[in-house]
Amino acid sequence: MLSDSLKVLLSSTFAYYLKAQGFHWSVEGPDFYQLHKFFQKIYEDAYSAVDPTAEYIRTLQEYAPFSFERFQELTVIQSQTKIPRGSLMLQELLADTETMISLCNEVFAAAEQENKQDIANFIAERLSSHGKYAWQLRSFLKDARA
Amino acid sequence: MPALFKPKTQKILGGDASAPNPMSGYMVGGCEEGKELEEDHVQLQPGDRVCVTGPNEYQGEFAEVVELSPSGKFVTVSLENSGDEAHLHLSDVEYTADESQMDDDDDYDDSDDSEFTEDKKLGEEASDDMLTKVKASFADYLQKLEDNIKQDKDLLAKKKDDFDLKKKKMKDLELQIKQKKAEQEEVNEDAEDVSLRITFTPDDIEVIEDAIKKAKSIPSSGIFEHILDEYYAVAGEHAEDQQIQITLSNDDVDNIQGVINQFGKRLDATGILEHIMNEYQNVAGEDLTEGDPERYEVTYYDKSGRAGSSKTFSDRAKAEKHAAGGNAIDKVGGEYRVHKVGADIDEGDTYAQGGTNTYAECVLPVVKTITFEDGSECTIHGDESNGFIIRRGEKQLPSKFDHLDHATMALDMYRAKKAASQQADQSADYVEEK
Repeated sequence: MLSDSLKVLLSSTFAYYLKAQGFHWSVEGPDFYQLHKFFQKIYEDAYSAVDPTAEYIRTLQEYAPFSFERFQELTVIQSQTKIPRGSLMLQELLADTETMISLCNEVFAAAEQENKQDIANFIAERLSSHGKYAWQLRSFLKDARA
Repeated sequence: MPALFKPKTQKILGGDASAPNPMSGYMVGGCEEGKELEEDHVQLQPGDRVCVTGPNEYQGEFAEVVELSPSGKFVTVSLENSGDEAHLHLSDVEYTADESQMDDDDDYDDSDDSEFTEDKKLGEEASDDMLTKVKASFADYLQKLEDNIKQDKDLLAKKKDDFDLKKKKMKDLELQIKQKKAEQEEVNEDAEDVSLRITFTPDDIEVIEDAIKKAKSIPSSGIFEHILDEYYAVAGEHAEDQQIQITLSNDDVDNIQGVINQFGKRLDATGILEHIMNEYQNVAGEDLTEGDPERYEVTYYDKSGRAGSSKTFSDRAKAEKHAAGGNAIDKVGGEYRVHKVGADIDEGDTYAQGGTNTYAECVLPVVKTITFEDGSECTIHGDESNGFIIRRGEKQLPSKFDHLDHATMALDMYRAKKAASQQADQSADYVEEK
């Protein structure tokens, strides 16, 4: 069901936002400033999608989850309890961004199936943002390998 | 009234009255004339109980023989039922046992009781068997109990013996330990007391006497008096060089050192005391073998911080005791300090005894400063004559180096070690957040 998919999307978006912000706080190394700013952009973008996602769930006459326990149950993004090195942060965030893209594609398909154009449009925007950051993350990593 | 003789149906024994009747006086039971008495017939006597068997009015009755007739053929009986007497022919009566004799086994016809007897016997035998068996088994049981008790007692006795043996061994061990401790203490005590043979000249004696007069309360006055006593005992009135044996304990050594420090050249006898100290150190210097892991050096620093004499111990407690003893009598602002020789540079312990001024604070300037990657600093103080020490912040490390190069090398090694550990931390991919 579309509402269930949206709930998973909401929980995963929140987890993704939290991880990006954690990396923003904890990054160290010679590229500290760039990564610190870059991670900030990622988490701000993710956070901006949390509220609309929850409201779309409400429009489907379902309740949106809002506890850590429920988010933990629903999210597809694995949490990180340690502090990776800078390049590892980039790798991890790239993997999570690709996971978010896959999830958004599923939700988009569900929205189209149920003929929810507004939700489909919103998800399309999310796909665009995640795609952009995925590209930037890959570029960062390429630079490190060189 | 006795019954009359009624010869109605009496059997009368025929034959010649004069001939002796073999049947007279004998019980007969239908015995015919002339018939010989059977062997088992009993001769009736007065008092015997008879049964009337003849065909007369008393037939079947029991009676008691009262008397026999002179001829022996007739008997007078007293009937039991009526108490009447009757005269009857002997053939009409039959001897019978008394009622009281009816219970006798002899009269009891037990011809039909053979089976009962057998059963009884069998029963008795069986019960005897059972009883025997029970007795035997009970006896076995008791025997077993006794054996068990005996075994337990033996076991208990054995355990007690073992325990006593162990106790004895423990006591022996304790005694051995005590003995060893006592020996060790003796050795230690002996090791602390050092005997010296020193030659004193008459001039020395004069100086000593003078010293005693001037400063009677100096701690080494006991030694001086001993020297004087020995000298005069040997030399008498003759003024000549004499070799005198003196025994110095650790306390004596401390006292002497204290006097030297206190009076210095102001006391003429200081020279003598210094000579004694030199001899002492020659004889009783610590024998430090290579590879000794821990040594403690007690160094005297004067009030200017200059290092004076030092003495090395292999035991920290002895070193501290020596330093404490010296500090107790020092009155010139000096200080005895204990340093661990060969300590690692990272050790923060210092063994300064008393006083608040450290050696480096006193005088010696910094000769080198080394800064580490984390911004902390270590400074090297000292000179070639007094050696070099290292300070880290406010702390002075106990190690002392003869040369600046050695101190520098120690710091370089420490810095390299620290950098390596930091690098190890940085090379980790993941760092714990908590």
